[in-house]
Amino acid sequence: MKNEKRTVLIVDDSILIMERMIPILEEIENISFVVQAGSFREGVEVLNTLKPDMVLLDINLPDKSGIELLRIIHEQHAEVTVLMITNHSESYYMETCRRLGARDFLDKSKDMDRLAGVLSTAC
Amino acid sequence: MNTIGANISKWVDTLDDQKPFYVAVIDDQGSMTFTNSHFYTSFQASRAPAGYNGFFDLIHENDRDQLNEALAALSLRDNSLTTEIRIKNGHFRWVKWEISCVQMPETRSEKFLCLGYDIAAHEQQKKNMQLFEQQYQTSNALFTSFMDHTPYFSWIIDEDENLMFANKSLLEHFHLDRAAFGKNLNSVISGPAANIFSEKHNLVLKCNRRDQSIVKSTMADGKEHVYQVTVFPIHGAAPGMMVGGEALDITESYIARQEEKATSERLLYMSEEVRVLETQLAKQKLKEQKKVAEAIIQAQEEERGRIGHELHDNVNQILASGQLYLGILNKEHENFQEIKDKTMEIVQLGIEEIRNLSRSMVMPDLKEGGLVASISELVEDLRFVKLFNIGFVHSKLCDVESISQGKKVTLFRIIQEQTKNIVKYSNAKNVEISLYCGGDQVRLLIKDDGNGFDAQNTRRGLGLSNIYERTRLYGGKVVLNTAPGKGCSVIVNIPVELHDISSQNSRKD
Repeated sequence: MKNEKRTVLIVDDSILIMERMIPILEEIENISFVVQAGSFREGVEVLNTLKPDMVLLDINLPDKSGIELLRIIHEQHAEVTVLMITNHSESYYMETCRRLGARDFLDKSKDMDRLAGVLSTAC
Repeated sequence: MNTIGANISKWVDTLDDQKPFYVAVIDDQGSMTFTNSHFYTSFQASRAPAGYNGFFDLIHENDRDQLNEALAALSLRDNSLTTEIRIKNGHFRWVKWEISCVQMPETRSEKFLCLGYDIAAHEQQKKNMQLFEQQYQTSNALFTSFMDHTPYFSWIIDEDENLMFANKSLLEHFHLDRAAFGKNLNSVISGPAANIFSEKHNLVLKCNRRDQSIVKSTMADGKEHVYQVTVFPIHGAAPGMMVGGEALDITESYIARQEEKATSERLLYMSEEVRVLETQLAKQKLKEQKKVAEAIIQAQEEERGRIGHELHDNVNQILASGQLYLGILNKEHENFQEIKDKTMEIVQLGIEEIRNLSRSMVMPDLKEGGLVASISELVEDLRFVKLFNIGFVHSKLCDVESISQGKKVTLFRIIQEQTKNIVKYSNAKNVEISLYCGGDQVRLLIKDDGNGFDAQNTRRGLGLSNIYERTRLYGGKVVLNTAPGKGCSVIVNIPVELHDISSQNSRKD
């Protein structure tokens, strides 16, 4: 684990999820800066300039699948830690995401309590 | 003090209608912990996040105090404030910020949630709204004016038959005003008109297609009016179907069209009557022609019978007596010369009889000799017999010969027939034939000073019948003038068609 502070990119178009995630992220000391992107396109744009340490990624994005973004991260930014945070908890998705290098897979509806712990461990 | 969650819901509320929208969470030193991607890409993309302390660096130096004051004020109160602060994006731009002080649940530290949107974009939006408003007003005025002036009744109702719109002429017609809008149609219009409206509207709502019909209705003036009504489905911005309708008073043109229809029906009926009459006429004509043809055939049969009779009774007898004489003819016979002369005489008589017969049988060659030449020959023959004096006068040769061949043959046959009658029955001393061509008809006169007869009580003989039938065939007329002891004159008039003469003239040319 590095000592320096981390930047996080959240790719999720749900503002309601943002309401819950921002306070959680604020509390984690290692995280210095969070950028939220609401679509695949925005996600790619921020990814290339911000060079985040970690990406919190939803699968269901308005313009393209989050799995596509995961594939790009896996191929071009392999050092970035990815946590999938999604409603798609089916094993098919889990398998695919793990194969593409996702560190963990959280279900929005039941695993949000785990988020702080997972983030602390990951950072 | 609000939690960040409650404030961030403002983000949700305003996100759609006030883009581009910036979101940032900062602390009182201006250090940013959270931004949305729009903020990040617009103001921060070129900067590395490490060691970067802030929001203040992005703010125009003239506005930094203002931001500081705002943050200080907010940390003492619960609510939010708005302030216009320039922020740098290559050049500075005016952004309206709505800043709220929020408390983090765990650490209870103060943070500031900043929601911003471009004033320039907002202004543009406002301008667009104004422009839209203007355009809307213009098109609304145009629509209203159109609806006020069209001769059509126009209306719109919703699914529950509430009147959404009615144009001026419809409102005036039913003595309504705009207060009727939104009310159920049945509550503002009564009587048969309401039923018609309902029926049409239900049809459209049920079938979702246009319906056009002609509707008759007795209106307030007590007269029956005829309307061309079109109803059609329309869909507004709100869900659910509405019905648009148009009606045009076409009473005048409808009545005119009905009259026109009746007239044409009458005409059709009349032309049918004419056709029936024409058919009857044609049938009658055909019947008459058949009668004429039958008479001609009968006459021909009679003629053949007569010839047969002549051959049998006359020529046969003559030849038989010739044979008888030849049988007794002997050179040694004392009356040899006398018998020979008698035989010669009898043979001569036979020859004469056959010649007479054949002359009456064979149609004279009028083509070569012409009508006048043929008549002249006949007259010469009669003159030779010396039974009576006979004279023949005629008008100019070219006029007489210009009429059609059929008519010429007919005229010749009539002369033959009548002279035969004269020879047989009249004991006339003088006979006169005249043939006159003038105007559009040819006139033949055969006059004798013989016995005459009672035209009323004498059965018209075959000869006379023939004359009548032949003349009728060519549309001509026969006038018979006779009485016992007063002689007899037959006048035949046959019309001559123009082409009879012109074709002759052209041949002459």
